[in-house]
Amino acid sequence: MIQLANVCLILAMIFTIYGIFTSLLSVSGQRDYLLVSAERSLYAVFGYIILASFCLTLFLAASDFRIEYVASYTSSTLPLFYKVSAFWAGQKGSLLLWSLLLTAFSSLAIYQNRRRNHDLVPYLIAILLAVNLFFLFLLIFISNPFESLPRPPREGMGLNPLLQNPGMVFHPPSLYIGFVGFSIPFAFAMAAIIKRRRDNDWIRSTRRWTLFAWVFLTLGNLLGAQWAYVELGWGGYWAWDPVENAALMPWLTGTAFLHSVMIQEKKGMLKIWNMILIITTFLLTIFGTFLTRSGIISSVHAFTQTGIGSYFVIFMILIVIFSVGCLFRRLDLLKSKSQFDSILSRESSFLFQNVILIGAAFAVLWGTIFPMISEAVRGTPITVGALFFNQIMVPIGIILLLLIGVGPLIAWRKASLGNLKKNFLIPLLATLVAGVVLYFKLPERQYYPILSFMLITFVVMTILIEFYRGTTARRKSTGSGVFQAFFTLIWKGKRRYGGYIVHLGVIFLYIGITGSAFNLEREVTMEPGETLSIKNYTLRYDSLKNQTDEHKTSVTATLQLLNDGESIAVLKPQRNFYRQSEQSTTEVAIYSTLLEDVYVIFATFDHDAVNLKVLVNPLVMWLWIGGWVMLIGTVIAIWPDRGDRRREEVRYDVAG
Amino acid sequence: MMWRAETLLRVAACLSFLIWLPVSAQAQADMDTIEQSLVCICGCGNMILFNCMCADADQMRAEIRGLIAEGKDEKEVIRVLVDRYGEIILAAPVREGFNLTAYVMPFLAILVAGGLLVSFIRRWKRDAGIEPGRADQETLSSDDPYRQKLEEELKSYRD
Repeated sequence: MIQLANVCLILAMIFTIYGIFTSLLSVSGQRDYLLVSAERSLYAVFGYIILASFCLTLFLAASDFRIEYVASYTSSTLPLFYKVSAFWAGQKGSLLLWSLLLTAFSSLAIYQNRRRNHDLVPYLIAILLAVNLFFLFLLIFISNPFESLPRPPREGMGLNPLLQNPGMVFHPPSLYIGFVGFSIPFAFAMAAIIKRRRDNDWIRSTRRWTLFAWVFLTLGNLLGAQWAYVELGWGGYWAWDPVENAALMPWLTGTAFLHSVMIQEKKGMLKIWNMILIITTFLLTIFGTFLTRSGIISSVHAFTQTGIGSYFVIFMILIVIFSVGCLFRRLDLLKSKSQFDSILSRESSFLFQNVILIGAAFAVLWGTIFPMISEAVRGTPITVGALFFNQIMVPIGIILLLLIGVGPLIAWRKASLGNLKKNFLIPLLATLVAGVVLYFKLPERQYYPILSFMLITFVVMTILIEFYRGTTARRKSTGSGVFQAFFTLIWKGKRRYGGYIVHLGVIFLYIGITGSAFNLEREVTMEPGETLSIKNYTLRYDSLKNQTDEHKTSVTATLQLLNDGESIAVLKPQRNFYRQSEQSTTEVAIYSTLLEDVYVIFATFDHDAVNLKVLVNPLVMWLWIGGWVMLIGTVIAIWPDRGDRRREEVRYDVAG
Repeated sequence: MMWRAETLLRVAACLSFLIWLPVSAQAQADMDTIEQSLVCICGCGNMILFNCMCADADQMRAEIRGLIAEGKDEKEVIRVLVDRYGEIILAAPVREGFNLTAYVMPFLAILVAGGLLVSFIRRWKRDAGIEPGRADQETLSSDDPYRQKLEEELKSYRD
């Protein structure tokens, strides 16, 4: 079985190399039979990677400790759910997951486009297989998940207790789907410029892929935040850890790309800029994988390993040389006629938003690598942590929030004064009212949160007005009821209204993030029967319980949470001591409402006395709701409609 | 209209100096503030001392309590700890010398990019030439009938 898995990887590599050559050979001399062969070789590679992945899953499920990877990340007593999730717990499995996802997406993209973009297919196959070749090289020669041990241990080392959380089962695959998903628009962009295509078809063909990758990257980041919140037990969800930053950067550039391609679609402009954006996004996905899996920078993701960093650096340099080379060779082809009528137009607001998003990505990158730069220049190691990032990113986030609200209100091409007055008046009035109320009502007069909530009001108003106007207009023209008009509006304008729903989700994220400015925290040592008051809550410590199972010893404190004297929940924060890994973890207890979370961390205990950290974190739940809303909005925006299909058919006919 | 656009841009540029506003309330200049300015020496992902729950964090807290008991103020406590553990325990680079670039570069990049964008838009606008009476119009793709219908409906609603 081990040999079978290794043979699968080797065959995948052989077919990958074969596919690259045949696809490129098929271009010279229009040899279609070679292209068919290249396409089939891609499917074959996908098949071999599936088989190899299946083997790894079986080894993990069966606790086959002959395999070094299985022995390092699982133990025989680990629940099956976590045994299987150990697939992506370490570097080797994660690399196999990359390859699996890449070949799956590549196969699907090629299958979809074999008619629609027939001329691009050879280049697409070559580029996507070349990326896969890098991962197969690592899997076979540097970081083989099927490496066997000369003397298999009787028991494995087990999975890091921090990774034994349902969030961790979904967070890495979701992030990887996002990372890998951006390979498809990147490959299309490169294929289009190599093929000297001047049209915007590659953007239309990859719009859904881009949105798909983007939403998974969004969910991956949010699932990671949720995991950090419930599992790391420090009271927050985002620590500006280098690995978190690595996943945020492609999200920011990907978001810029999503908006900027709309201008290319509408006006045929910004072709070079969009190329730069997709190249940067793809590079940042590779950089993200490198940062996560190389362990080059100290991180809470310290369960990763080193050893592959230099290969990633070489690969990234090759990507830069290839993509920038392609771009420069076709620079004349990409130059487009400018059609800007005014600075006050939706196009320019999209571009300013692009500047802010790219600026934000740069700020995150700069902060992440600054310790290395500073050490190289000054010779003194420094830390660039949350304190720095909050100071830099909060103002940038506020400007971005303003642009989210302003963008959709300004007309395309050129906004007139009438247009501005009509669209801005109500949101601005609502914003001012919100500002006055917040200024007098908030417990602490903090400028940023007030500004943020004011802008949140502004954006929410703009979105609601858009829906109101659309629904009313529809009712007027069709005579239908409110609900029917509302849902038909969304259904018939999926892309536009799906986009607004995504924006609403982003606003919910902003609500959650802004709430963190009002976090309250108390640290206390309590004996049974004692109480702690925080805000309008009272926490009564009742008892301490010790429990031992085959993996760990758990100490659980039982606390009654009272609100204005009335019991509302029983909270049971825990400390676990894992025997095998000799590690201890904290399981926090959270009482969550739309308004705030009561978050209890069990720090230490001495006999019956417990040391607790109690936090009241306002509005956290809005973050998770925001994630779901963004998912719903994206699904609506991606959903195909008959109009799309009809337009595609017309395009084929014209092309045919 | 031009001057309005420029005013808007100036406001946007001013907004980037919001960095100097405090991000969260500095309620008490004591233990909490000091803990929030430092990272734990355990090195677990640059964890702010205030949030860290490990044994090293407890040891650092005890040191800070000791220094406060000696009558040292916030700055003196931090200075002693920096001398002891090095600059690496500061949660953010000090705003002086080369470290200033950490704070300035992101905003400088945004302002330069924003300025370039304004000049590009002006050039594009000049190249395109302005046709009067096109305001408020959406560029509609001829292959998007629903969109046209929606815009017509919205227009009739506005009228």
